[in-house]
Amino acid sequence: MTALIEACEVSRVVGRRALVDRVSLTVEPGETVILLGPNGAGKTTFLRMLAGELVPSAGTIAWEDAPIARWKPRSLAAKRAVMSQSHPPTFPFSVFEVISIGLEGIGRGCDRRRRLGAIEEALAAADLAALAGADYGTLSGGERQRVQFARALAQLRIGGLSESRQVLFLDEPVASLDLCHQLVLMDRAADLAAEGIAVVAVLHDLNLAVRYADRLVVLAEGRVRAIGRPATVVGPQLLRDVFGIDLPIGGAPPADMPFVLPQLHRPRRAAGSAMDESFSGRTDPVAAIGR
Amino acid sequence: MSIAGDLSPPASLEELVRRRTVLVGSTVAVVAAIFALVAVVSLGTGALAIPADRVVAILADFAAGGADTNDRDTLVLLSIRLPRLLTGMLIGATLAVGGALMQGLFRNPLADPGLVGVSSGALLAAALTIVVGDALLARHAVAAGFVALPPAAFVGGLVTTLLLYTVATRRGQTSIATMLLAGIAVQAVAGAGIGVLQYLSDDRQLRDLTFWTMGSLGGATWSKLAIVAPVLLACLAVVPFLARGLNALLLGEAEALFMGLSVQRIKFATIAVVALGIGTAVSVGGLIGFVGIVVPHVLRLFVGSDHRALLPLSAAGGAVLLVGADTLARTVVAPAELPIGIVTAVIGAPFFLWLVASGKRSLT
Amino acid sequence: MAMDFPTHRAGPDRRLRPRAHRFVSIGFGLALVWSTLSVAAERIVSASGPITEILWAIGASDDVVAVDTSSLFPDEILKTKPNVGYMRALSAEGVISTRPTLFLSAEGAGPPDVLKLLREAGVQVEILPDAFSGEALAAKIRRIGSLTGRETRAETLAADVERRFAELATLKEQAKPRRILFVLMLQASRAMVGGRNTAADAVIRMVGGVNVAEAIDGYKPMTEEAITAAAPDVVLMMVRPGVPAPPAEELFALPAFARTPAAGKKALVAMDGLYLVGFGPREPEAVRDLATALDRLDGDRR
Repeated sequence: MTALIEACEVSRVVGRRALVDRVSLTVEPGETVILLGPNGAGKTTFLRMLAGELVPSAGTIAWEDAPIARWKPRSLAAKRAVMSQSHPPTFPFSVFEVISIGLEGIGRGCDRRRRLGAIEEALAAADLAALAGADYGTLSGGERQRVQFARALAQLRIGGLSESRQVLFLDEPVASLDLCHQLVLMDRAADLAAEGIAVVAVLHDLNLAVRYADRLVVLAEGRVRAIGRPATVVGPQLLRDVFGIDLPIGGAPPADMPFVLPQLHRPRRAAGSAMDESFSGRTDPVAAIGR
Repeated sequence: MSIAGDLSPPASLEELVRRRTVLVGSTVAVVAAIFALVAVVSLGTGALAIPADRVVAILADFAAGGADTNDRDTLVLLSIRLPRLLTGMLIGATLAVGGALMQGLFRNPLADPGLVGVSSGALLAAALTIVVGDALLARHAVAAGFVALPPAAFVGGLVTTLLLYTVATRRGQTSIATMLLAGIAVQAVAGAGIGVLQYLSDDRQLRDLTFWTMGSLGGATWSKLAIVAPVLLACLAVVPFLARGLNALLLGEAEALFMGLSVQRIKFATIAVVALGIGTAVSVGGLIGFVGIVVPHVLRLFVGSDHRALLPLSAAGGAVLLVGADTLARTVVAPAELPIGIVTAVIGAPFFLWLVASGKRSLT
Repeated sequence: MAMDFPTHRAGPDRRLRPRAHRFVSIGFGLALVWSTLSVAAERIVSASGPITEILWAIGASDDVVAVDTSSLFPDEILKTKPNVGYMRALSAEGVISTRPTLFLSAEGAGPPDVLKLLREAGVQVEILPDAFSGEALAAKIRRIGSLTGRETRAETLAADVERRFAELATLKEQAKPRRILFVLMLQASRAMVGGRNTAADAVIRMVGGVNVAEAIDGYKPMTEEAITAAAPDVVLMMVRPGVPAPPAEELFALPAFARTPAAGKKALVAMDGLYLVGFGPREPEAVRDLATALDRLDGDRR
């Protein structure tokens, strides 16, 4: 079985600087690959090349054994969805409209019920059912990120009707989210991975990355410093050399200082729907439509 | 949760969709009603008082194929007011849609068609024709100046847009940001050129140019309409197909790309339609401002930014505004006529100021 | 003594026969009706200041139903008659709504589409060339007279105009040759001057002057250097009614005029535009007034 994505010695050079320097990576269905590294390491640039937005200066990227350039935009759109860092549109759109627009490309041939169903599921998964009619411009940063997440989900669902072996790209998906929603979102991503969808994410939070990654890819200055399972990759040497921090791994702070670790988080799944009532504390979304 | 599972929506989203359909539908109905009203009033109003029953009778005769153009009322109604009404509708629709398209392309509610250079190019070409054309065409071509003006303005607008597009497009990708900056530079250059021409012009040329920059539908004849209508109708017909692409672009160029859309094609089509449509509109009516900014802005308050609703409604709204403004222009200082650009500015500017100051994002 | 009063007598007498009498009455009646019709039926739109002046002078003012923005004399015209706007930007429906039978204007009236529509509406459209001389003006007056059915009064006026222009010849002979620059208007500090083929040029000649802007054709802007090089003795400026002329100090402070011979003597004459270069019936008076003003300038210097 061919790799879902195969990136081989990929570089991106702008001016004199190599933002990404000969990085190789394969991505298989159902696995969660998390890109870690200090600022300016080239994580987002690499992700954007994998997703097909940027063209590498050197090296190859192949999806299902076919060079990415040969993929038709529509087919690629059915194969993968990208959650970028949030852009606020300057125009009044409702949350529902934002997600609905996300289906413009691939949702064409789809019938209305399917589309609405995908949107509904995405809203629920991102805990946005109550905000479906809200003006996107009035939302907080975190709420907007969840909308972008929902949009990516909806696109994946509709794309899944024509393509199997899909990929979800997440570029700093939890940057503005409160801790609860950070965990909810990463749980949803993990659910997708369990269904067979590959997840490639850029994260800054080391603990969160360790908790959710099947494989970690540590980048610094455009180059790979380590690839592998979190347990083998994260060590004091890496922390010092790459991240420039000198902290012991697994050490506990003094007794009078509380610490909370996402590593201990266990998602509680409600039967049937993807709605995680216990964490969000929200009521039934159907009844909550107001705005 | 399986991929191909049951994806049927609950009542809540359906409710949202239904409410939106009702909103858009009622806005369409209201705009259509105002449109019909304004058209009727415009036909029946003017410097010459024609009683309503006479208007109906003449129109009936016209529809039946026989109209007596020796009769003064008939001449005014069929050879002056009717082509003027139709021209005003088409130009108004084009100006408003052009504004909406530009606002979608530049992702900015203050964008107007001038940003792609078409207005400044047309103005420069008009100034050249007025000031230099006299000398070239010599004394016996007094009327030639009037005849040469519309095609010159049209060509000037298109050439300028082409120049801007070329500057902003590298390796097949058009950078909107570059286009914006280059557009500002082009406007400055055109302004300098026009300044020089104004400096060189004599009294009569100066006044002709000034009147052109204030716009007028006075030049609307059936023969001009015959040339202009097909172009404008073609542009307006293409516009609905741009709606989805512009919606996607509003979320961001990268996002639109990830959705599987051809971003470059959307940009090119939008720019082409604007250049062609606005270039044609300006060549017949001169410079008429505010329609492209005010109309889409007002309609967004009702139907939001979804271009599938916004674009057609802008067309109708623009037609209404311009025909209404023209009716005022023709009657307020009768038997003289106000340049229509002044009327749209007097109506549009304070209204727009009020809109912006009140900070409304939506009336729903 | 019994008086012999004439009584009805049969036979030939010197009074008209009844039949001929009838023809004369009918003929007279027809002539009366005809003249009433041809006078009352005229509705004239005049889109030119000088033409409006002429119409007033030949007594046709009642027939004028609308004028343009340049019809500034007599003063009350614009207050009593509807205004069709600027003559180069007319409104077809606007003009037609005054139900004219005759439309008079000067060269340059338009737009051409509007004139075409007027003709289609059955209006007689007459564009009269600008007059730059006594003969041309007289011909224009006669033409207007024939168009409006007022030949007699027009003839009187035309003859009078011709006479008054002829009298100007002595003015010209006696005048000192002066170098004159006619300024139509000042925009910022740029001057629009009257070159050859303009009314201004004709007027300057009539007062025996030399038009220093002769190299220019028509009313065009003149550069600062050119004005200085032209070295006018007098600056003749056009003003509009109600707008005061700039004081001489201000004008000659401008760089364009500061180094002219006129500056040294503050030789500035400002006159109403329609009066001086409109070439209406008041033209000869205007020329005389100009000559007087020029002489006064010289007088001041002595």
